[in-house]
Amino acid sequence: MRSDLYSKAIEIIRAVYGEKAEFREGQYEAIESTLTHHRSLVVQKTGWGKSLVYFVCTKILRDSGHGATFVVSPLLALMENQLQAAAAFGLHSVVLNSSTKENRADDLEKIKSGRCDLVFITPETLFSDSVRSALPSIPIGLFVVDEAHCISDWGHDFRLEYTRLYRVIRKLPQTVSVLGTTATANDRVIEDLKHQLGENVYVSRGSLMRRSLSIQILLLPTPAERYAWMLHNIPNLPGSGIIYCLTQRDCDKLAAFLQENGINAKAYHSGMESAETEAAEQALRDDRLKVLVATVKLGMGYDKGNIAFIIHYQQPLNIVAYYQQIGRAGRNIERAYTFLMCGEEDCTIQDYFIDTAFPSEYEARSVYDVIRAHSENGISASQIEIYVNCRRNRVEKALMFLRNEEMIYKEGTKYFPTLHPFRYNREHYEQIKDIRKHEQQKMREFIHTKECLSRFIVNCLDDPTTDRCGICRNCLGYAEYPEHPDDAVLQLTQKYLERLIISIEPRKRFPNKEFTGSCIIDHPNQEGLCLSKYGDPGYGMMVKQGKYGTPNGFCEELIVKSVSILRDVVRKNDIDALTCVPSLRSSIVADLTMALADKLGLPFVQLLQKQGTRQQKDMENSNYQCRNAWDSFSVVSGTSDVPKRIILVDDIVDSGWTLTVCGYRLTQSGCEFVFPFALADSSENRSNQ
Amino acid sequence: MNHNSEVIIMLCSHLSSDTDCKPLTPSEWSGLADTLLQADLEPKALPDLSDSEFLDLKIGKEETQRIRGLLRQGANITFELEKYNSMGIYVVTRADAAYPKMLKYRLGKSCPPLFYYAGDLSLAKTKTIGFVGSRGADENDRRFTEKVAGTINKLGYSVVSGGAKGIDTIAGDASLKNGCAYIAYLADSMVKRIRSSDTIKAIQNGRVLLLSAVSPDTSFTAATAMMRNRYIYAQSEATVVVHSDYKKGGTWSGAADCLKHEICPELCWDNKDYRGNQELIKLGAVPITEDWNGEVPELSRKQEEFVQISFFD
Repeated sequence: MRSDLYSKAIEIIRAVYGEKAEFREGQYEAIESTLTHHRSLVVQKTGWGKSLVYFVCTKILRDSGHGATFVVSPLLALMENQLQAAAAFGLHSVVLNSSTKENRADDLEKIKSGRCDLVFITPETLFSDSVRSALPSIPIGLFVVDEAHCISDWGHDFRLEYTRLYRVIRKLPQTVSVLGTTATANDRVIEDLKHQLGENVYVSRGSLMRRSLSIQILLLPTPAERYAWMLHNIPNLPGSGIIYCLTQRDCDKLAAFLQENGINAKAYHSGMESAETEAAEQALRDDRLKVLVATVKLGMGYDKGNIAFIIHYQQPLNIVAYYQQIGRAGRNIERAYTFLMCGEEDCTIQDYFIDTAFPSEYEARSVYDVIRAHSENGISASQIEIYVNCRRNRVEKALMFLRNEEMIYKEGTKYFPTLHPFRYNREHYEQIKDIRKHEQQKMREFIHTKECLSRFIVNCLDDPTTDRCGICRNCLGYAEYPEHPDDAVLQLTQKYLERLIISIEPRKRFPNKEFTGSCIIDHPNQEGLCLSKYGDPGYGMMVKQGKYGTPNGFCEELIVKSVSILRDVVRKNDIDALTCVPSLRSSIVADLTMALADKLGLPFVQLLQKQGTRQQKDMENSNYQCRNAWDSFSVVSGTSDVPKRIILVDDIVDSGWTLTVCGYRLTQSGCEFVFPFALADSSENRSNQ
Repeated sequence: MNHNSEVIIMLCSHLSSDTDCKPLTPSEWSGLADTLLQADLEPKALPDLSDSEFLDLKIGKEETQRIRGLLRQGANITFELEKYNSMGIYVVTRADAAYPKMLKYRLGKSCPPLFYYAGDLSLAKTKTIGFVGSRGADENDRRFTEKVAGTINKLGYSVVSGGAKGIDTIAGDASLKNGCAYIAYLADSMVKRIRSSDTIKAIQNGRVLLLSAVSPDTSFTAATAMMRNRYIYAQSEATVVVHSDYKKGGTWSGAADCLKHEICPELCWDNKDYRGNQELIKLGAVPITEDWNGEVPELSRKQEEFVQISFFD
């Protein structure tokens, strides 16, 4: 039996790779354990050949009449190379993820009729309604969980979607083989995965050291220094590469900067249209792009053999994530360069990710209570926001959490309570938070270590090697690329960053009909302008100091800069006057507006008044923000002769509801053109992925 | 979940919509279970049997193919199960120790291979009195039902019924109000049932157990409703017929069926205005009034010798 299986397996790889092909160490053992109804876990470095294991298994299973293999992977990118490799084995495969939605019905039909051998699918798509309803008529022979460490909430990259996946896996009958694969699991995660995959899990584990990657660490606190370093050094790097940022906004900003300064760069993140991301990815694949600026979502499942460099614009949350991300480089080339940049803002962003990974008990409880009260007919996410004063992304986080903890379920667009009572395991979530903090600490040690950097990483993954990579900054004893930016380039970059102005997108709809009887806003504001991102170096920091730091209000530099921007606006739009968003607590916005009006040679008119309500910044979602602004602002009674074309000034814009409601009040009393202007935008980066 | 149960679910549940492989009926499963028992095998051995081993068991080629086809549905059935599990609906099979014992005892081979359930399964071990009657109950029916429920609750019995409108619900609500439990064998739509706020609360408090032999999303059919009646009679120490039509409707056929097969002692409200009730009494149902003291009569014949139909009896 055993030798029979071996000869079948070796025959398959020899048909693909030639008569002399042999299995790499551990590959056949993994195939054998997978096919003899074991639960198997393969922990091997990128490039070891994990997919070969399930290709061969699929081939053998299909030849003996079993159902298709499902490969669940958090891939965002189309796995072109994977598909080609599968085709070489004579396997027909299909990819089901959010970007292949249009073909969904056809694809599912193909799978149902047994014409598909391999199905690559994201966990989100696996649990989507269309796939769920097709599944009962699809026999599955083998279940592969790619990036299996995502199942473990002890793992560095635990994903809530994966919780449901492991519930299914745990219940799969012994007749279905299960194979988990990962390149990044330490002892504890492996123990956890063994437990979650079921009984008698076979573990295949090999050395994790990647000999083709050289690592250099760059301590560059300010964005300008990092921008300048890249502008100066990327043209000198071989081939094409990837820059990883923690937020979508950073991707957009950095890609635009590189592009404008002559480096062929494109952004890539889940906030973009799928056509755009596909085009960007295709350009990289065809070597038409120098660099792709991406969030970590690109990391997993992305498979291009000749990525020659990877730059981290900020530190990843932990070393395992870092190892995973640099693992994309240097697969089929001798040498790839990786640079880890460490900025002053890294810790704040990391803390944000760590602290908001789980919803608070208050958020979870409030959302649950609303759903529990609507058990009979269910309730949609947007309706829930009417009852709960929480940010939309917090409501979404709470919904995901409640679903994974099986306290609610979703049918169509509605949520219903399950029969399981509400519970919140605070202790467990705190423990996980502590682990994340510890990992963050380990990352800091990494940055300052004098050891071989590659060895430091694989030791963190419990690979006990004492070898040195021989090519990192510490092994070489010198830096292969400069450790600081060129002064002239740095100055240019600083100028560039100061010039950046943000637009204020006008809101065109109310969150519901209760305000005017319709959701549509008849005469929305113009697209406005905002000087800076609140708290960012430069103007953003001046705004912060002006608001809370000094008694004298906003500094002259801010006023001068604002006037230089608004002069253009006034001329192009025939502006008649300036007005401002009123405040009950201080006059700094009125003072600012008066100063601006004075310098622009226009009248300042106080058209709006404010009633005492709650602070707008305590309102957490559109329903509450719009309601609060609606109750707060009105046109000063007895106002006649309202200027027709006006600039509406505020210091800080967040959700935009204050400007929207104020603009609406103004147009209702005769204004025809409202142009919003603010010093800083404090809205939370919509992207924190 | 034990591996025998896994196999029973793959073979007998209707969770897969692959129409090529028809799931086994209760009696087909019983037949197969007998065969396995005689060969000293457990269901979990089935996936690994070779062609010749199937032949040794005298299982024909076609039947072998059907069994193998059903066993290949493992993964997709698991997805469906997970969907229900996440709502709080689970499955108990004849291979589980927690399967309602009274049903095995009284229905033998015709008891369902598996039940979907929501709530505390151990309630099925409590002593219960069944209540059956029409959906359209009037004030008199209500008064009688609540009075009798009060009597049996005081004696420590819980209520078992079909969970339908009318008598079923009146009896169940009375039992909950009296601080006792309520078991309902549903004929359909378990998913809809667990959206009721009161049901969620009662289940979370461990007071209600819902069971259904058909998938939780199945809608009502007369046939499944008839089958379901038997489970009520089989579960109870005795069943009270509150109001039956004569020779028509589910209550009549269920009550007549119970008398014929002597599933459990049958009590019937001696209401002269209800022709169905009077006819059932003529057929052997024990007449009671609302002053009934709760004493349960014995069956006239001895129960059949108990047949082993699964692996935990």
